[in-house]
Amino acid sequence: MSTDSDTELNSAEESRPPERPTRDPERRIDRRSLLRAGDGPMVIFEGVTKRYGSDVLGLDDVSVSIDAGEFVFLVGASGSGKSTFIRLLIKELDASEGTVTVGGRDLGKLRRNKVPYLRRGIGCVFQDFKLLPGRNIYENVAYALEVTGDAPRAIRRKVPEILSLTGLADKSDRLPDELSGGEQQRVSIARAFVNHPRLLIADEPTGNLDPDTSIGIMQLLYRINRTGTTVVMATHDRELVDKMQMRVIALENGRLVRDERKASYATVEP
Amino acid sequence: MRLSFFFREAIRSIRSNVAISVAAIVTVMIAVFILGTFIPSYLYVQSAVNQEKSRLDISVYVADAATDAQVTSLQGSITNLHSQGLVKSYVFVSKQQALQRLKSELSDQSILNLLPNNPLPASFDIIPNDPAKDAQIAAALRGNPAIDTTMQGQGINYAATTTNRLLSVAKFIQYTGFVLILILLIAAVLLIGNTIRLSIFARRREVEVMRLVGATNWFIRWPFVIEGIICGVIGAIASVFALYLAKVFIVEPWINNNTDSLTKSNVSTIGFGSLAVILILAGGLVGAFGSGVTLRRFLKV
Repeated sequence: MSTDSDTELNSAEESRPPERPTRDPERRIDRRSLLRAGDGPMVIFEGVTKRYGSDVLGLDDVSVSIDAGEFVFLVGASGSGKSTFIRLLIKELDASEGTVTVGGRDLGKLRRNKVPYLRRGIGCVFQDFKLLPGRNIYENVAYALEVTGDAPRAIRRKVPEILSLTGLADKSDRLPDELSGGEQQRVSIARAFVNHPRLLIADEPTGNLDPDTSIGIMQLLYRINRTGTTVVMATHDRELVDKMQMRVIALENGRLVRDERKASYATVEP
Repeated sequence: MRLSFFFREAIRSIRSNVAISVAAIVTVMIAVFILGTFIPSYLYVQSAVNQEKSRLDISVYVADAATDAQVTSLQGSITNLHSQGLVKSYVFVSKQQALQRLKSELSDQSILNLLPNNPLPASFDIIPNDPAKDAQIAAALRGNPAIDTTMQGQGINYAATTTNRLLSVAKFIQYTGFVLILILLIAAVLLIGNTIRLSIFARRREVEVMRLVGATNWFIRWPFVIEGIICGVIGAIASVFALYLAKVFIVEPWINNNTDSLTKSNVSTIGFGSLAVILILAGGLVGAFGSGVTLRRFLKV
């Protein structure tokens, strides 16, 4: 990882935490993201319930903990609460009850104007890629760095690096809609990872892709996980989950119904 | 360094949404053009009214044959009215001064050289505190032997009905003019805001993505605000150009054809240079304001 992430900052709640050299690892915070760099769990859900309106339940009393560096599949049918789970992680939604903690931060207490800084520490990959249509591949990836106020020189160095890592080196001046679905998803992953976030969230990243392409995307996410990044991937791609044999968290009607290590998509019949 | 990025972003978005940008520019252009014709017209009328108002004095003509004692007693009566609060101020204008004044108001002074002697009477020019009470002042002075009753209004000249009418017109113009300018400005902001809303609505997906990668609200907003300023200023410059053409080819020939060549007018309006500066500033401001405010709706996380 780059040396600047070793810079230690006081993790106070104020808008601009004063720079103070402290050796306490629990007090360390990612310079760009607000996420505390510690060895504790990356994600903690404690009795989280999310209601839409008065009677629709998105999540129902879910408690789960994901350690730093883990690879987790979030599985379940449509409407089981996978998307609610993901949207709670980036504070696109707030929990109705319970607490969501990401990187040591209680998101319920995070002020709204701090949300952008939270998101800089979390890479996001979506089923529909969410690329900026008028910009070429290079500019799409560079945007994530411009947002954090990175120096132009650093941007010129990091973007080609991540593009070659994701196998897009020769596509940098293409527009998103000139690329195939698999290539677009690679761009989206490159953008999500260019900041070297400590948490990467993928919501159905292979949902629009054919099986062969899906495997390529999966391998890319796995390699990212091997660098130490926690990956949470929502999917209902049974084959993929069975092949990987990673931790599986299953949701059904908003309830947590299964949480197993080295598991398959469905419970194996005894 | 950030600024150059925001500028590039703004230019990019103008280029990729040419149709909407042109619509915004034309909207600003029309609004500013209307404002640009209205402001000078309003100031012109205002100035004309003020000039007429300052002419609402009472002239008391002094007979050439009046003795010094008679004149002094007339002045005493006026001083008396002054202490009663009816008269604001008064001056004595001698025959010689009256002639000088006429000279300065005429553009062709050679006419005066044809006069055998000075036909103008000396006078007291009285400025009343309230032009509506002219009649009261006149009544109080009437009968004084120094007054030249052969003159207009039997020696005390003031325009009773004109005065009242002019005063009410002046008030009307002042209030309605102000309200009209206000309405125009609000209409312009709404129109431009609406156009910009179109542009932002077309790009709401883009804004959503920017938020997802951790852009702060101001990071997203600045390019839009700069875009608004650019469109506003371009529109304003275009309409200033149109106004200049209108001034040179329509207004100035019209004024030259319709002004009495014998008298010089003191009525004035705003200079074109300052008008242009005001309009361009207004265009930029309205553009920035329109896009900044409109974007709020899309930035609620």
